[in-house]
Amino acid sequence: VKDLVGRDMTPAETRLVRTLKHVEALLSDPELPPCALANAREAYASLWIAANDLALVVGKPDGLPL
Amino acid sequence: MTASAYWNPKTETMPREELRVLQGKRLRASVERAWEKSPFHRRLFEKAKVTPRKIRSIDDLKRIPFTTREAWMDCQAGAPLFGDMLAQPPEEAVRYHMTSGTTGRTPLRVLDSRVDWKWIAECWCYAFHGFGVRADDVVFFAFSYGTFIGFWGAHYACEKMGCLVLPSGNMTTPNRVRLIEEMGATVVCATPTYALRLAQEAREMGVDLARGKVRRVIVSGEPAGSIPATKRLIESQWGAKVADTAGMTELGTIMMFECEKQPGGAHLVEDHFVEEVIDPETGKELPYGERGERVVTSFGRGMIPVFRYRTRDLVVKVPHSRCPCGRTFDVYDGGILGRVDDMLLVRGTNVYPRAVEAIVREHAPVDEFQILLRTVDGIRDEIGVRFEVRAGHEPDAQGCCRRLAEDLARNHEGLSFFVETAATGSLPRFELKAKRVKDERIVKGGGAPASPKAPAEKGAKP
Repeated sequence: VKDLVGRDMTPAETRLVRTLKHVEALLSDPELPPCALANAREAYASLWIAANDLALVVGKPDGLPL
Repeated sequence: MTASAYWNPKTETMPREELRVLQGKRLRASVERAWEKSPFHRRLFEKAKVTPRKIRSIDDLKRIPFTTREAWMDCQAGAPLFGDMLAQPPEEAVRYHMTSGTTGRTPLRVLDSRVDWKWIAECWCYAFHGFGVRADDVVFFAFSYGTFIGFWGAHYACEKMGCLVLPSGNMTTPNRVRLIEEMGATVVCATPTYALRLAQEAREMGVDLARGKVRRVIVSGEPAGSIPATKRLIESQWGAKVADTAGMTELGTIMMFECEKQPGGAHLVEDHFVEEVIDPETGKELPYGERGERVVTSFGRGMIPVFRYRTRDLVVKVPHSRCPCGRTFDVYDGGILGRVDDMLLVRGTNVYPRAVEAIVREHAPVDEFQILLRTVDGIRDEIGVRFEVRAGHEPDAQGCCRRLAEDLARNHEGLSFFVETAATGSLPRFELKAKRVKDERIVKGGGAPASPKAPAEKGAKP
């Protein structure tokens, strides 16, 4: 899998993107109580910033309940 | 975990060609999003016959027309409070800020989403880490907080980095000195002028800062931060290294910072911004080494896209090779060199003569007037208004002084103005363009510390 500039993603970068997707899925879980949802949002936003810094994502995380 | 001199080694040392590929992809995505979600930007693009499909690389940035502060203000004035430029619903915002200075009386207003706010702090991390700040540092902020965006992002950056953060809010200057001493601050953040003011206060209190624990002073908000003589003065008084940063409310964060090598300029944060330098008259891009107006495009703030925004800041861009640090981000030689227009920077707050006049003219007793700037005690800048009393309003002259001072402060983020009367006929009159600004400061555009009284004390102003 490549990053935005065409380099192969490192194992750590691959794990970061995978974790981001896991947390994204968590955000739409209707059973999350407010305490969990709010902290999951924070976690997602922080992970997205990391992925963005490393040129692994492009655009903005629109459409998510952030 | 390896220790790195860079906050983001991957992009900070990325070959320029790869960096341009990254910028191109981010530009395309930003234009697509703004086209779809921001009516203000859709109109801008349509007028210039730009569609997202036409943005294929960073070279296509020039297809996009310039945007200006005036257009931003008109947009917000046409549909208060935020115009139709938002690319996200305002309900998704977690932060509100506004500009300190005003062209006219209406400030620019900005909203930030949760992700925006984290990105704002992230850009500050490039600067703090790049200047050697680490998790074991104790970072003091001489900053009044409030709606002024100032060092807000830096505060969160330092928390993210694991530093101990000391927010001083509305503390008096002596209490700030005491806090720095008591808590053993190792890093101090302030405007250059206020860094000098703190040093002055410390001397009067018998505190020898040069023998204290502070090892870095990070400044922002005034051109003085990159003036070598001012930096040397701060460094000698604090016994610490001084680094400059610069940003603006329109971006929410900083777009340049000095690394530890300090090559006489500041690196641009080029994975998150594109900085162009143009001739302010013709709009043509200037080559490396030529002085011109900086124009910024941001990839970071989702709530309010920024494309080719004319900042009115004067800069000289030089290649990254100027600096031996290994970063591939280009450098603004000497930082921000001044302003294209006549904006005055007083203790970190933008003051526009036109805006001052708009306020002054609302006060009936004022006849002719003059804006005065002077340096008091060799280091502290003051701004005020001197006016001649309109005939028949003499009994209300002192009341007008008070009301006008309050009105001016209220419209300038609490910056204190002195207001005094002048003898009738003593102020100059003009036949053509009026020149009502009398600037007698030692360093024009900043360079002297804030008032010792709390309300006017300012932090930095991106």
